[in-house]
Amino acid sequence: MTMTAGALRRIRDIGGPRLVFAALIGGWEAAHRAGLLPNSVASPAQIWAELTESYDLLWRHARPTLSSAVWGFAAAALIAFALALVVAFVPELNRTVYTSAVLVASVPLIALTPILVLWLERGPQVRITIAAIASFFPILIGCIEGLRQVGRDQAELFEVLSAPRWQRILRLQIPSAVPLTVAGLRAAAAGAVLGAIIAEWSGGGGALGLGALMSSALFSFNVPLTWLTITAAVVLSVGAYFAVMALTALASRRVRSG
Amino acid sequence: MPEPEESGPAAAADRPEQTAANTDEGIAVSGMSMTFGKEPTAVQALDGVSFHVPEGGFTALIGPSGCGKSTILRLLADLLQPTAGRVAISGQAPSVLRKQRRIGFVFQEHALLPWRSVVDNIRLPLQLSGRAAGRGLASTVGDLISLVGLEGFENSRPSELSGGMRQRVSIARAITLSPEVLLLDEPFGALDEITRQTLNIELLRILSETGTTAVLVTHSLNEATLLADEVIVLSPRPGRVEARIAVPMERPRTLAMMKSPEFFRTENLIREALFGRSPGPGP
Repeated sequence: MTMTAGALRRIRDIGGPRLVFAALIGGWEAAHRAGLLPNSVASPAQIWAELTESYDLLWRHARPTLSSAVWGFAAAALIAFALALVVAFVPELNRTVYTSAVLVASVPLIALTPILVLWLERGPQVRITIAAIASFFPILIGCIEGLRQVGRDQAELFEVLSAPRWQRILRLQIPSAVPLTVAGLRAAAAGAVLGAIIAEWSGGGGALGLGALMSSALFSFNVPLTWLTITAAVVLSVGAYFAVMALTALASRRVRSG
Repeated sequence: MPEPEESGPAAAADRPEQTAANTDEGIAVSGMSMTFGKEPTAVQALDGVSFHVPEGGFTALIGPSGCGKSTILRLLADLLQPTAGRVAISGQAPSVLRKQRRIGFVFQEHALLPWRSVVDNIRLPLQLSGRAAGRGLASTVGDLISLVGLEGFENSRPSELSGGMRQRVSIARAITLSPEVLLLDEPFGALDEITRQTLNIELLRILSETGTTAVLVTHSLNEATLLADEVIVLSPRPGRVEARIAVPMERPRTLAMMKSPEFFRTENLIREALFGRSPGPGP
């Protein structure tokens, strides 16, 4: 019996990534059992065992991380949208905003956290601020570049129709900006999670948070718990990416229907 | 006042610097020049172009690539400002008409908004002019859809339409606000011959119903002869008026007229003006 091209394609599209993932996990486990990996690396089975044992602890720490990432991401998105709109109305500000955003994105977050702790005091406000800074740049660049992605003919059409600038921005530039803005939001989602974790790791968020748990597990040489928190961070980041993807798909339809 | 009609290429060669008719009707272009950039890298696109399109008339601009045909349309639409000369539409500057949304423009690549349906694309000029909520809007858009023969596709997106259908939407959108002047920048250039001829006839029908003055940029001798009252042949860059050729065929035009001796004669006159007296490329 020969396989049809459709079945092969389905295996490639859906089965392919799963097979690669299963092979990686299997290879990792086998390498660990064969003693090929150092003691500082936990095996998938050890991580799973740690999860079943420390599920409540993990969830207690993951919740504030997730919440900080969501709030930080939302704040970054709002500020980036607002700034991009300002640049759309006053294009002369483009270079100033770009340069400032590059400067903000270049600040080492791990060094910024203690400064923010001194300023804002330890707590969720520091986690949210660092998450916002970590996700701000890709969103802003996506928005600004997106607002500039207007076809020449379409721009001329709005000129011929003597459209005021706000109409041009509302009815042409914003809908045209959707694809790049969405790309920026997706790229920023994982950054927000990692930003919150960095803040927690550096002691900016108090005793709670995945970063704090990761740090305490590492310094107490609890290898399985350290790897469990690393895995949780990856799962949260990937989850954030897909959640933003789903939300932006809904929002794009709405924005573009106007 | 120069006579725009019945002037062959030879006649035009004798008076290359024709001046536009000094009239308050239609489109009057007088000594229009256009230079892009500044010395030493300046490029002169147009040099002293003059012509007149009577109100309700149809003029086609034809010439080699880069001769400034599209630039002329953009100058008429107030998208560019001439470096010299004068343009007047109904006795007014193009900027006045543009601000009053009395100019319609059909682009080569249709310039439809891909996220909007057919209805919403046609409705766009109404929304931009603040008339979207006005009474009779639905019938206006509905009439336009009927006029361009797109019933049943009201809610389709441009990506779901053929090239010809997209240009129909583009034409409907251009005439939504009943403009005095319709400027068409190679609107059918990317279409196959059959669709092109069908749309040519439909365009003529629409213009005869609306009485709009039209200027068409085209590369097709066939199209120019079939549609226009007068064909203006431009020289290679910088574009100058090489010849103004009147098309002596009656209206309404039909595809059958393309087999008439007048059609061939006119097309040959245009070809001669474009390529000289040598035979040039075949029809």
